[in-house]
Amino acid sequence: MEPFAVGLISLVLIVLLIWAGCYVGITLSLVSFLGVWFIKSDPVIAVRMMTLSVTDTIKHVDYASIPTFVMMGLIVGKSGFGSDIYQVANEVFRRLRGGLGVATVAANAAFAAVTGSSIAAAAVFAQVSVPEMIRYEYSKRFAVGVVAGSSVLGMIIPPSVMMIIYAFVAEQSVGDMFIAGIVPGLLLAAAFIGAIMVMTKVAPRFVGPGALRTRAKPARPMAFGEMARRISPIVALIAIVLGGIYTGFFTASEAGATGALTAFLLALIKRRYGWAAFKETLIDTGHITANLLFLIIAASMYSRMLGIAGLPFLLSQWLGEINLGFAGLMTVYVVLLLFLGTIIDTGSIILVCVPLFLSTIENMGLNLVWFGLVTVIGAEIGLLTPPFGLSCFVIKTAINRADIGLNDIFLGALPFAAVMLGVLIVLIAFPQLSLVLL
Amino acid sequence: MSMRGPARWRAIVRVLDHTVTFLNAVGSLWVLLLVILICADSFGRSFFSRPIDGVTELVAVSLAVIVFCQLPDTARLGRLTRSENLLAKLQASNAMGARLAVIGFELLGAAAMVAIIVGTTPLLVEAYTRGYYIGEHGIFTLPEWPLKGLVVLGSVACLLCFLVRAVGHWLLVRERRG
Repeated sequence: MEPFAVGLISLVLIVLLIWAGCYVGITLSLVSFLGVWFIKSDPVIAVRMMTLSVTDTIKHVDYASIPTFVMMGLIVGKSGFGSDIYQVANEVFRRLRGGLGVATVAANAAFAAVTGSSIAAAAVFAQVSVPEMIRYEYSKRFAVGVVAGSSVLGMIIPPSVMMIIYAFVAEQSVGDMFIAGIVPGLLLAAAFIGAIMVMTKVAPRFVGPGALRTRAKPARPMAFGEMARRISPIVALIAIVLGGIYTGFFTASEAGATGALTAFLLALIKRRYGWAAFKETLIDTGHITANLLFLIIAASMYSRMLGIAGLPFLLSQWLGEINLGFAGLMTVYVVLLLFLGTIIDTGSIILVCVPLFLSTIENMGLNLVWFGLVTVIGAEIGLLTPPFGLSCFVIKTAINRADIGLNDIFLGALPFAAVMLGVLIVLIAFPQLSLVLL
Repeated sequence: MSMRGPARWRAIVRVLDHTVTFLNAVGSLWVLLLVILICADSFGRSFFSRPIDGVTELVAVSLAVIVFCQLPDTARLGRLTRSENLLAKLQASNAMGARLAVIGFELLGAAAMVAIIVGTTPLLVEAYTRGYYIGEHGIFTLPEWPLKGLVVLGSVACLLCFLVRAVGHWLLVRERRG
């Protein structure tokens, strides 16, 4: 059979198997293995390709950024720093209409700067911020929607697991990806806050009566010193991790390791962290790391298979021939990301799409760091949209209330998904927004 | 699911569980060690201009080994990344079909592991018989075969975990039927 045809069939098979529920890493590695076997009609070459991926793909110190950042995020998540920052944000935005919603976004943005996962953010804030908003008569839909929407900041504001994955698949520097994510992440947070303010004006029924009022001064307002004490751990971690990478003092994996150690010490000082939590952190770090690194190994098999089939080259040639132009290409790409977002998860979208489009983007002379941000944000919209929105499922599980259905969460998150798409279009139109800090 | 089937089967599953949990603990402590080493190396380099010899190399070769120490436990607990959406829907409408699909996916996992084992075992043999080592002679060296050995051991354990899960689901299917 034609290599091209084998590649195409493998591609379709991969998407179908992931959709059906086969393990993502297994799907990528096994189908790629069979693909190479068919193209070369030689199982020995296929085994060699697979072995090379297993032993050589992650043989670099940079890949240590995965376990270290995962560990740091888990420690931060388990030690209650997220709810601390939320209390402070509540106090700061008290006098604003929709203040609790704004506080949720702001706290999420800060939390996102010390963890790399939207899932952790969704779980933490579903527990601390949804009950608070409902207590103050915000509508349930709006309450869960805000939490779902702002949870995506977790994977866009660095450090971000998805950016690390992209960096390895596209052979870009993890540090560059992180630095490039700062402005777009803050822009998205600002857009969410703006959207909440607008919603309290134009959609009073959607946000609920509580969001239209400002809150009275509490009997015992939080003193400035108390605020400083509560946000200091997060501020310290942001300074170490992002500051360290930005100034070039740390490589990505050093920043992760130092961040993990600092988070551990801070959690110990605050007496929020015991032996049981430590053991849990180690085990969870292991499972998540094994998962992610195996995905990267499997993705390298997949991109080798694509390369052997010549698919990325043909795609780039074909896209050049039909003369799509920049706007056309980006439209096709974003629509593809959104479509895949309705059937497979964010990580799989990045792993499947990036190797396919990489040479096209390179041939057009576009910046691969910028392309990474476009990919990560585009793929993350799928976290909020049915039928698959993972953030919405996590929130459903975390709030554990019978009176809030999955439908309410999806509907509540919809305006935020729309805002994300808007920000994505802005980022595509103005690449300098992503590249300004580099 | 390990608590089904005849007594001898359960005993085998228990031994595998213990082995896999032990491998996982080795991997977890290894990650902790890497975190400490990376910090110490970076600290030493920045403040005393004295990095620790071999940390970069050690970290680089460790990662694949850590993955294969922890992959079996991840597989055993069903925590490998998958999209469960469609399976959940199928479960509601056709529980038997969903279970058969799950069995199929576990077997695909086993097949992928077989390919990895076939590929990595010769590397282990070669590393052992030729006495390969990692690092620079006189500064920092480490024999390579235990690392390759853990990769092979991990993928064998992973293969067994996938098979045990498949059998577990199959026993459940039979129970429902009988």
